[in-house]
Amino acid sequence: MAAQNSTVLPRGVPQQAFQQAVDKFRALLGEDNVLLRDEQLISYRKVMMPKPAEDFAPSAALIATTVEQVQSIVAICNEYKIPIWTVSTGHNFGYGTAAPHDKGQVVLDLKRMNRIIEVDPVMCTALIEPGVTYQQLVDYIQEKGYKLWVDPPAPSAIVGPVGNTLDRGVGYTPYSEHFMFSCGMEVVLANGEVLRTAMGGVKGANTWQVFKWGYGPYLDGLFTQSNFGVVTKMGLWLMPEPPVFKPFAIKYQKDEDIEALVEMFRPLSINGVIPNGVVLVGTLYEASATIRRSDYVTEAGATPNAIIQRIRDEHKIGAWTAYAALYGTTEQVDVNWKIVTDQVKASGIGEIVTEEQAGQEPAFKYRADLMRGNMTMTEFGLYNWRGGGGSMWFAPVAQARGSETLKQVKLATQILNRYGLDYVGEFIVGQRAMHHIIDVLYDRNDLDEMQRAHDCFAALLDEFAKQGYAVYRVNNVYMDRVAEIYGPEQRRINQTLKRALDPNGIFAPGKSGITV
Amino acid sequence: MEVDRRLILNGIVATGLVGLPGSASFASPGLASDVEEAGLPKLRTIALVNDEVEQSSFLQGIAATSQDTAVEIIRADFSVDFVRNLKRLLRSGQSIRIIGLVDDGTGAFIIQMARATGARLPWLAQHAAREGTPSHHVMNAGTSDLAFHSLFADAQSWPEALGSMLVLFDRGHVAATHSLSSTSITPSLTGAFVSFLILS
Repeated sequence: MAAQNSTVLPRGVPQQAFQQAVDKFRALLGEDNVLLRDEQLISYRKVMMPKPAEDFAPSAALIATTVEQVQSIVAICNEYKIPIWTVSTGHNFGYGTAAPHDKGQVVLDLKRMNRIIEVDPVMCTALIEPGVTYQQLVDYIQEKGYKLWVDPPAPSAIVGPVGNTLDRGVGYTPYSEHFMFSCGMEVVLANGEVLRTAMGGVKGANTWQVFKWGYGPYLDGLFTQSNFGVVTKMGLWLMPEPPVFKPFAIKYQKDEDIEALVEMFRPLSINGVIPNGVVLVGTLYEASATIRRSDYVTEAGATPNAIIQRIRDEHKIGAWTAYAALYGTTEQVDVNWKIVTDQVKASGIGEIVTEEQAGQEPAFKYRADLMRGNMTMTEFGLYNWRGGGGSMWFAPVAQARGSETLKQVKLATQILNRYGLDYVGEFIVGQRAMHHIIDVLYDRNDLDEMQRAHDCFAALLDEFAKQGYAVYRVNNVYMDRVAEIYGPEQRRINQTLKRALDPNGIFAPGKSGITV
Repeated sequence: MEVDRRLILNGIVATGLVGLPGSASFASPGLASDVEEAGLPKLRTIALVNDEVEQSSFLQGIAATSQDTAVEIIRADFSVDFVRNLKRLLRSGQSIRIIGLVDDGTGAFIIQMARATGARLPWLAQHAAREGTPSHHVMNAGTSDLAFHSLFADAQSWPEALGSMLVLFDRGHVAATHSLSSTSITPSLTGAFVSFLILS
């Protein structure tokens, strides 16, 4: 018998019961797919969250590859009351990575459940399993010669569409709102039944991946950011490759310029002139593609404004850089380009940079790659800005109004600086709302800084909530706190659903603050 | 003894020595991925480094200890080609040992790629060296943090001692590295790093 990570057990499960469950998992999956040794489990607790890694140690990890295996795992977990935390590719960087919510939960790792079941080049749809990565899907599409694009989030190549969509992540092309461009799911429920949502419930239907709504209550949303089932297949809509793709940037020199630029971009977004998720990138976020904080300052604490200005001057980085793109035929792009450039000129601020002008400039290339759905790993440079492996995305939602942006930036900067950390942020504009994505970066090697980061994030949540702002997604440490912010009625409904769908509470206890 | 001559004498495969022109990376077209084609041993040992680690004494520590082992030196980077080739290597079915000391950004995805491909991590640690004072956090729960901490953290040159220790880590000879004394004239390492031993 392989040596177990024996000091870690699921909460409330005695050693003997756990061992019996492990024996059944082994009989079901094979010994190689039941991970118990520290050298196999250590990567699941390599976290970026501000708590000791040991707090996220799983008791085991299970590698499943079929729906039938997942059903059997669910039966065993119900029998022994074993909580399982499901990950698809497990690359949810900044939101918990592959770590369970609580120490001792068993990770159900679907990385090898990775079939691309179908890609339809005419309907521009795909049906895939959770372990499929964007790189795998792109390789498949290219191999087949299909003219289809994907819309990845920034870590692109190694993350997966299913996991990112289930956490309601976003990208940078016109298909940036991932859940909106998903269509149909297959879910293993806690009672072992397999649900196919919407048109998937109709025998013989060929509309499962083309019509989202089906009939009656729309159930797909229940399985996003939740712990009501294990998703084993998901349908996606894929963007047809446009004849012309024209990325561009607009640089703004002053912090307060963001108000005017949002007011300019919002109507262009709502009216469809600029169809993609426009990104407004702050100085330090832009700088992190090529620069480290230690290149300029080594003292602890927030980076002084004078240094930020020096970075802007030396590297020709704006206070804000807007990245957007036009897609379509030559005629469409030409018309929309004239609309955009006329608007920028009329505003009197902002310097347009085209792809030709940018050349091989790394930050522009990175953003152009994202807006084209290309694979890129440049985002990981963010973790070297301060170093030390700490990163948490603080991502409040805002109206797409200029006044809201500056207000949120000032509030966030004030709180971050108070705790000796930097504002490293951007906005992703999606017509009426914006995701304000701030990376709270800190050094996990410095226990004092880690504690400050922990307290800072809590302060961000609380002080933003006082202003009526809340995050759209969060890492394991703060899920309960965010659920509180969304109010007792939502919590009660979620708990009611949880008790109905998973009475033994085996699926991901604590996810989004939901328990039985 | 100059660094590059010493590395060659200790049998490090010159598929491109880091710090010299033509350093190898996974994106290098010339790097053999087929063991037999390259005439490389069946157990491949790879040192994965980047940035200032390349110029540090980490590789010297590896060279000093790997007397009977050919070690390939690969530069890690943020390219999609590197990610693709690392994944291919870890899934190749070959027996591979990867000893690494890289920056946080690279370490973040390398560790998760090891997990994604089912590789084992007998060693995983974080290091910070700021203003001359290094600190180390060893993540492995299976051994005493303090015991492993002292094996390299107290050395005059911790990167060199770490490199040396990792070569022998899974072979039961860890204690032998403790007496390593550095003759390094390379600059000291500053910043934050991740070290790992990946076995697939």
